[in-house]
Amino acid sequence: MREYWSARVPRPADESDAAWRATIRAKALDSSRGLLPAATRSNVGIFGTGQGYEALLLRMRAHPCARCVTARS
Amino acid sequence: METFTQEERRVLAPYFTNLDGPVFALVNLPEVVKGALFARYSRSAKSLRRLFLDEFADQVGEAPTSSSIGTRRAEALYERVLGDYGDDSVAQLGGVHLACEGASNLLTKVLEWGRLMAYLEQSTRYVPYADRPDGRFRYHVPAELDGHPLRPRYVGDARPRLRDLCALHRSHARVLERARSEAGG
Repeated sequence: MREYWSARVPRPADESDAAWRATIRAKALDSSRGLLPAATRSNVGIFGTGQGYEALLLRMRAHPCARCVTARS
Repeated sequence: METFTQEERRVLAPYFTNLDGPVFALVNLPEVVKGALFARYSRSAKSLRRLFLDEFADQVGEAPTSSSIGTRRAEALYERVLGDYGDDSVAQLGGVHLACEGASNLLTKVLEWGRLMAYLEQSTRYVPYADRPDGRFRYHVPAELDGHPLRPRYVGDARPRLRDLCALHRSHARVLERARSEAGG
């Protein structure tokens, strides 16, 4: 894997080691996130109007996924 | 579910509609703070209330909280025009910042389907999912599987399989760890 990334993302002479490591880390995350299943948990922030939330509630109530129907704060 | 100390709860209480559930709204905060808090969501493994405590709470008290002037009259108006008449044009005029934490990827798709709202989500591009809070990787186990014979196969509690959820998260963690060690830390 190092050979793969080293060939494609060598550390530029004018780039700090920390910055290069951060780049490799981002590429590692990008490469491996496809392994994560659809059940993986995430945090979501929503900003919307009353009209949008009304539509969201109706959509969730009508959805076959039980968690959507039962999800309540 | 994340818990907070009594002191933390005292700091959080004026600004979040609840401190114990995964779904809550932000109140009494300037618009710019609510936006900034959500902006941190994508690159942070922390919950929103923890982010607030760690990064914003030291400024509590510096600025006045949102005014409640006219609230009684406004609520009565909304009750009548929106609640009784169902006037959509009025429903468009009030906005809320709402956090939904611990939502499965499938649920996020349902939440983010509507085109009339704005969304920001914790990103697998920036946040590693290699940790195990409460002893389990961060994935949702549907309630339908409670007591079901397929549950052990789903979570990988039985003998290791290639495609159970633990195995997938373990592979994800292994790739990250390998990359970290090969990149030198």
